[in-house]
Parts: sequence; C-alpha cells; structure tokens
Amino acid sequence: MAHAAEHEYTTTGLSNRKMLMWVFLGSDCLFFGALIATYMVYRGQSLVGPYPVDIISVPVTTISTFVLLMSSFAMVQALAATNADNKRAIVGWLLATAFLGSIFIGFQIFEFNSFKNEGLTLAGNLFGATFFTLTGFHGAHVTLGIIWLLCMAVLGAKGRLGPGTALDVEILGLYWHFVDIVWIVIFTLLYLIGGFDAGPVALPGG
Amino acid sequence: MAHETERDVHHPTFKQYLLIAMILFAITIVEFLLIWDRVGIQDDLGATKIPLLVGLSVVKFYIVIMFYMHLRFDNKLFTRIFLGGLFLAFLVGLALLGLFTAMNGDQRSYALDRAIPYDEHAETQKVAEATTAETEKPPVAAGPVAITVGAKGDELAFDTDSLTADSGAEVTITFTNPSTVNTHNLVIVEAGTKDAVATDGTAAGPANNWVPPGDSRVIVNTILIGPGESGEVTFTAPAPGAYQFVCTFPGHNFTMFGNFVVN
Amino acid sequence: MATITGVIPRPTTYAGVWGWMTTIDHKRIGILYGLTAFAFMLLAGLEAGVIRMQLVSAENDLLGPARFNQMFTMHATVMVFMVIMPLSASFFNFIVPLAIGARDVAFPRLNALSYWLFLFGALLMHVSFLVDQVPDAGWFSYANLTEKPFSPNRALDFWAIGLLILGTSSVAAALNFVVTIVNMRAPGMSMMRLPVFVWMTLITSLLLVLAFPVITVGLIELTMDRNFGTHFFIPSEGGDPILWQHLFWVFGHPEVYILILPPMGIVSEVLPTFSGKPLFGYPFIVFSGIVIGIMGWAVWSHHMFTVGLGPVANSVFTITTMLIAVPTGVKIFNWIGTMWRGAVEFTTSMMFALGFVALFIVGGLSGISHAISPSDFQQQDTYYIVAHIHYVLFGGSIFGIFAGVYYWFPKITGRMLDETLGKINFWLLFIGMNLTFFPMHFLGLNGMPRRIYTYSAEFGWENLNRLASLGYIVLFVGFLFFMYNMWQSRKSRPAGHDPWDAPGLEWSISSPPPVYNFAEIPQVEGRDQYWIMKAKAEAAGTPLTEPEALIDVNTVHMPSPSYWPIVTAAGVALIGGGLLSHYAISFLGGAITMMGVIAWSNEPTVAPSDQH
Repeated sequence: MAHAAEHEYTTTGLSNRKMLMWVFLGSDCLFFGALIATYMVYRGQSLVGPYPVDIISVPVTTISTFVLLMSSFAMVQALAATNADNKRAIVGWLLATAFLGSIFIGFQIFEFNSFKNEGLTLAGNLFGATFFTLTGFHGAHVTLGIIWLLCMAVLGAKGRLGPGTALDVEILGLYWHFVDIVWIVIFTLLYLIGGFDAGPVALPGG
Repeated sequence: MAHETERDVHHPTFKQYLLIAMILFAITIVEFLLIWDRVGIQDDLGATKIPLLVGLSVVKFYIVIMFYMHLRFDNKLFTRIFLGGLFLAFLVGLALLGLFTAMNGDQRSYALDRAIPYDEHAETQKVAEATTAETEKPPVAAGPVAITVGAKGDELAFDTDSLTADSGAEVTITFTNPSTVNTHNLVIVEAGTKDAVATDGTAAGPANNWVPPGDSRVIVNTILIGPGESGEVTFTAPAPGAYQFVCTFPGHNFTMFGNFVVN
Repeated sequence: MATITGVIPRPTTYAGVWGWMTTIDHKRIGILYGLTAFAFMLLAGLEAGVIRMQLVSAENDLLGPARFNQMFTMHATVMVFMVIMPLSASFFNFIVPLAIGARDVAFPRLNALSYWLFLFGALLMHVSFLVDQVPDAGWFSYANLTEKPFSPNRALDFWAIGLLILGTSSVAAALNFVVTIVNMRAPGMSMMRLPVFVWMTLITSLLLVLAFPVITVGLIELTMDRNFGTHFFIPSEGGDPILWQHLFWVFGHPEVYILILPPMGIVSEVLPTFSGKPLFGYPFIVFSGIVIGIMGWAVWSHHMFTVGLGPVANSVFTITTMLIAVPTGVKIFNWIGTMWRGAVEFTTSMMFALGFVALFIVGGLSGISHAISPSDFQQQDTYYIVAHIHYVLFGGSIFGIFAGVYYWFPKITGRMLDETLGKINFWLLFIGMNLTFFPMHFLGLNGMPRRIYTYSAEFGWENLNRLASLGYIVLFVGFLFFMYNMWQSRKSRPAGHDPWDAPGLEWSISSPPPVYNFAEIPQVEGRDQYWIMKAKAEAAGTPLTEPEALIDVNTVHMPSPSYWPIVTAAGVALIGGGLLSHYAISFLGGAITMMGVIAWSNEPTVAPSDQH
C-alpha cells in the first residue's frame, strides 16, 4: 500500500487502486444491502422478547453515532495533512481517527453486553439474530479499518507518508467514510425507526 | 498523462470541513429530538416522522459521499460505479420487502401460522379443546383411562403405533412433542380415512388445527402442539372397532400414524 | 513488518514448481485455472456417470438414496462453481490482457490470490468426501432441509464454507478484471473498439462483484443457523425458509448470466474469424449484453413460481423473464448475420461455435416455456428443467468454451490441435449431448421428478432413461478424444503466431506469448486491430508474416513473483477449515492471513533491480 513509485499509465488517467476501492465499495453496498433487507423483512417477526423497545437506548447510540461522524472529520484532516506534507499532523489525525473508531467499538461492546444481560442473544429470537449479525458485521468492518489506520500511522511515524503517497491515505479514507455511511443507514433504520418496535405482531388464528 | 486528476482539484479547506461536520452533527441532533419522547413532538408527528428521518439520513449520506469521499470533485466514473451498486442494493432490498409484505399471497403468514406465540400464560392454554364428533352413544363401561403418546424426537412419527381403549370409557390422551422443530397434533379418525382427513385438514388451515371442522370421520383431536410442548384431550371412547390416530400437520400423515383399537 | 520481506528473499525464479506457485503472470494463472477446472470437470463428469448408471433401469439399487443425493449435489455444485466459472476465468486471464494490449492485469498478485483461493476453497469442499459427510441438499440447498435437524452432520457446513471461499475468489478476480478492462487498455482502444469477448468479461465481472455479496449473506446466515443457534430460516421461531430462496436466486439468476455471457463472448470472436468478415452489428451485441446484465437482476423469482408468491409477483416476473429473451434473440440474429455471405471455414472451433448457437436456441426455447408461470407449475422440479439447464449450460456454456479452447489453444501452447480428432470430438459431444438431454424433455413432461434416485417400471420412463445413459457413454468417448487430442499436441506442428488470420491483437505476438506480452504497447486505430494492421501492411506491399519481434525480458519492468498470494490464500482456507473442525485453527489461519496481507502490502509490485 505504500509506494510512491506508482506512476503507471492508465487509460482513464485514474488510479487503478482507487478504482478498485470504489468497485469494492459498490460491491459492499450489496453485502450490507442484503443484511439490512434481512433485518427489515424480519422486523416485527420475533415471537419472543426482548423486543427493540425493551432494550434499545437511542440516546447512548446517538452519542456513538456522533463519535463515528467525528472520526470521519478526523479522517479528512489526515488526508489534508498528507497533502500538505505535515508529518506530525498526519500521524496525529490518523491516531485520532483510530481512537474515535475505537470509542465507537467500545460503545458497541458495551451495548452488546448489556443486551446480552437483558436476554437478547443470537439464538433467542429473530431480532437478536438480525441485529447482532448486521451490527456485528459493521463492527468487523470498523475494526478492520482501525487496524488499517494503525498500520498507516506506523508508516506515518516512520515518515513514509506525504504528498507522494497521499493516495494510500485517500483510499483508506474512502473505506472509512463508507463504514460511516453504512452506520448512518443502520442508525436510522435500526434505532430511530425500528428502535420502538414492540411485541410480536398479531398472529392469524393465534 | 495525469496521474491523479483529483489532486489538482481544490479540496475544501479546514473551515469548510468543520462546517460540514457541524451540519452532520446538527442533523443527528434533530433526528434525535424527533424521536425522543421527552421532547414530546414525536407523538404529534406520528407516521410522518419516518419519511422525515429517512430524508434527513439521505442528506447526511449525501454530504458524506460528496464531500468527505469527495465524489463531488472527483471523476464521474467513480460516482457512477458507487451509485450503481448503491441503487441496485436499494432496489433489491425494496423488492424483497415488497415480495414479503406487500404482494398477494403473503408468505409470512405461512411461517407465522406455524409459529408459537410468545405468551406468559402459554402453559394454561395447553389444555386441549376437545371437539368430540357426533357418534352413536356407546354403552357406558369402565371408568376413566389415561393414555400417554409422544412424537418420536424430530422424526415424523409417533412413539407407538397402536393404542387401545374400551368402548364407552372416558379416555384422556396426553400428547407430548419432544421435537425441537416440528409442530404436531393428534387426531383420531375412522379406519382408513387418515389421508383423506389430512388432505381436508390442510384445506381447513392452521386456524382449525389442520383438522376439517365438523367432519364426521374425526372422532377427536388435540390442538397443535408446538416443539417441546404437550397437551391433552379427554373424550368418550366410541363404538368398538378399528380407528386410526394421525398427525394432520400437512405432510406428516404419511409416516405419523397408528391404529386405535376400541374393544 | 518490513522485516518479513527483508528476511525472506523475494522469489526470483520462473522455473519449476516454485515458479508456478509464486507466479503472478496472467498467462500462467490462466493455464492453472484451466487445468484445475478441467480436472474438476472430469470429477463432476464421473459423478454424472454414476447418476446415469443408477437411473439406467427401473428400481436399480446401485446407489442408495443418500449417496445419490450427494452425487447430484456435488455434480451441480462442482460444474457451476469449479468448472464453468473457472474455465471462463481461465480465458479472462489468458486472453483479456492480450486482447486489450496490456502487459498484465491491473493487480497481478490479487490475480494469483484469486486462483489460490479458488483451488483451496474447492479442495476444502472436497475434503467432505474423505470424512464421508458429502453435501447432499442440491446445488441450491433449500432451507430448511439444510438446517441442523435435517442435515445433522457437517456436510452443509463444508458446502457453505467452501462456497464462501470460492465466492471471495470470484469477487477478487472480478474486481481485478473490471479495473483491468476500464484502465489498462492500450492507447486508442476505446470502449467501442473492445473485442466483444472483453466486453462480456467486463459485464460478467460486474455481475460477479454485485451478485456474490448477496449469496455471501445467505451463506453466512445459513452457517449461523447451523452453528450459532440463530433461526433465520426456521419457521417455528418466526424465520422464513423463503428468504433463503430469495437470497439464493437474487444471486442465482445473475449467476446464470455469469455462466453464459463469457461463452457468448468467445463465440462472438470465433464466428467473425472463420466467416472472414467483421462481427455484424457490433454495437447491438454489446448493448444487448449490457441489457442482459441489467435485466438479469429483475427476473430471479421465476425460479420460485411454485412457492406461492401470489399472482402479482408471478405475473411481474413472468413479464420480465419474457423480456430478457429479446436481447438474447438480438445476439443470435447478429451471429447469423455475421456468417451471412461470409467465407465460412468449418474448423472445429467454428463447429463448436455453431453448435453453441443451435443448442442454445433449443435451451432458450424451453426456457421461455417455463418463463410462463402457469406452464412452469407443470414443469417445476421435473426432468424438463434438467433438460433445459443442460442445453443452456452444456450445449451453451461448455460448447462455447470448447470453441474457445480450439480457437486459442495454438496461441496458448504454440501447437495446433488436430482437426480430424477435433471434428470427431465435436460430433461425439454434439450427438452425445442431444442423446443424453433431449429425451429428458419427454421424461419431464411425462412427470419424472428430478432428483429421484429410482423409479418404478410402471411409469414407462425406462426406455428414455436408457437412451440418456447411452448418450452419456458417447459424451465420455468424446471427452477421451479431446484429452488424446490435447496429449498428442505435444508433437503436433507449431502453430505460428496467426494460424486463423484472426482480427484480435493477441494474434500479433508470437505463440506462446512472451512474458511481457507486447514488446511495444500497440496503438489501436479501430475495431479488429490486427486485421487493420495486416490490411495496411498488405497495401504497403510488405505483408505481415512474422509476429512482433522478441526483446530482452530484463529491459521490461514486469511485476515480480511473490509468495504472499499463496500464503494469504492458505490462511483464508485455514480460517474456513477451522470453522469446520476446531476454532483454534481459524485463529492460526487469521494470523497467517494477516501476516500475508501486511507482508504483501510492504512488498513493492516490481522488485528493485538489484534483486533481479
């Protein structure tokens, strides 16, 4: 990921790696799309509790959403610093992004734990299964992003990041912002809209 | 050839990025206020808050991809690639949702019909309702008799293939279902009619416990017994002769039956 | 982590087993794909033989029902995911960079990773034979037959995890080809000058990139149902097995086009070459391919007419399915138009291409007959469907791929395949294929359900089944001729660089092509560039008879071989293997993958010249 010497000829004049990242993100849209569709199809289909209204805490998640949004701000600053060749700022903003991402993951671990204590499990009901699968895979994406950020911060600390390698930071940024926008969708659907779902829907003949 | 066309384009400045972050923050706060019950506007809004929330999220989404992911300043090809994937995901999701909820022949009713409602008082409901069919009054004979029958694990079979009772006796059948997945019932029918009754039962649907209501071939039936549950039914044994007991849950009747002999 | 790359010196050799294991040359990877897929084809073909042997007579007891289920499941899974897709990938790899005038694909190491993931994923699924827990729920493995109570052993886990790895491989390869085709074209090679095969590769790759995530989600949910106690597809807990069907077919229908578009591209190369005139209606062929790629997303529920989606859904999907026949018809008319008044030369490759067109029409027509949902209620799950799918995938895909093999074999190896043996091969496959699968139409309409392991003589299905089994023997002999033809080509006459007077850029260089492909990146002036070059040279009085002259390899900066693709792929395979046995192995695999990726990213694409 870290080579300045990539001045290859391309037909469109666009970087191969950046295009790869965009096509991959288009592909990942389908991945999260299918997971979200599963959640929406099974919304309100759980036969036993706990139901979203029993355990979802919107205020807490609003804070973690805010943290993730701010990490995106830190990420664009890291890219700006790379373009400006400000070595210390590069490392600082990359670490800040990773730190904010880690806080988000911390919130998620806290949330998963408290949900588990209230009886929400993968096996318990459909809400648990769809909720943990969707947010879990999102969390896995964030975690990968944090590892990537830390690796880049190490390179930055060695002084290997600068305008010549800004593309590396930019591609990382695209991935990171994508994870952020997926969370925007999840937050709206699972928390703001779906967070107040109660009880099983009436069963015909039940 | 230009290596990185986007590098020549002006990126937003620090102040502009900060402004964008503030806008995103503000939208999130508005969203939160819309649904926080202590603010008290969520009830006034009712169902209109959903399109409102979706709209606000779309704005946030748009701002992040256009400015933070700088699609606005970048080559249009990237925008097309990404939005192509995004719209496809959106349309597939919408189509799935439509197929599951909006179109005719709601598939979910199929699953839900078979589902066990979560009910704290489920235990008390398991007392079966007996729908004794009208048969000739047999002579009263012996006292009450208790019979226990179970399903055989997860298999589509009973754990016994024959039961007996004396005509006129008051029989209580306790049916246990140890299966982890299957729902069963137990229906006593006239000899040789199990498949015909099951076919009619399928038409009668789960609301009738998969048993044709008021059918003269049916002597007695339990309600649907879900996995891990049990239920009982009490009835007076009919005239002496050969009968069958069968599970009329669709498809089970081919393997899940036995003979019921009344002496 | 730079220390890792420092300690282990970079592989430098191109020779021997190590050379092949660390290769990132798209031509070698293409050959690896082809050979591996051919081996799996023989395996799956033998499974088909066992199936035909079992069905040769009524109430046969060669196989029990359990073993029979395993045979047809693995036959279909292997043929779709480990034969047709990688055979197409083999041509993508070998031909696409040559046809667009590039030195390699955009990401040579990612390309190697795709191959090794494919190999390891396929092998992992076949480990199921060693522990005798072979997948047995059909190639679309409908829930809830696949759930723990009904499939208690590990068989479906092998299936799901094997497919997850194969899917990763396909997506990685497809991402690579999208970027390669958009970004690595030679100067002057505009999109509307691309050979049609390259166009079809691009559309196929986009379909792969977009469709595989959906089945990935389905497979993850299935794996979680089986291993972590969720109830995604279990109705008693509110789940819905129909969701699996939807997720499978949202992927599954684009997958059908993933299987057929590359052979359509091959045929669009072969027909103009042997008709001696350019492809008729090039823009129509390209745009109909694009339309198929887009509409392929709007037809998936025609696999589910009998599920009970209701009249509205069934009508909608009937209409979209009827519509998608239009662009397919456009292609067929253009192919016929290409041959019209051409100097048609009946080589083996051309005959396979013609066979493709003829048999694909038969398959397309039977397809239309179950696009109509009321008539599909009659045909669903009968041998009629089996006949249809084999006319499309054997008569279509495999014949198209054979056309490609006979067409490009001289370029790949530098030797000619024998034409007489080739013609025998063609006629045996053509006759065998019709003998095997045509009777299945009648069997299906007479009510023979697919996937039954035996049948009663009273149904009167025995004679037609005998005919089908006889057809299998003919096909078997046909394949023997093909293998002998390949074998004898070692000593056959050298092909020269342009045996067919073909239009594509790949024919302008020597056979087999040098490591660097083009000594000088060509300037493209139009469609069918090599024909243009040859015509110009002839007009100038100096006909082109020689390929581009060879140059010293060391003067060209080519991507260097690397260990990390195979290491990373092995790590991923271990993660999968661990999920099937012991989670500790998964962690080991995760660590190896991590190490592979980090070492990979620290390794320059082109080794510094002091390591040469």
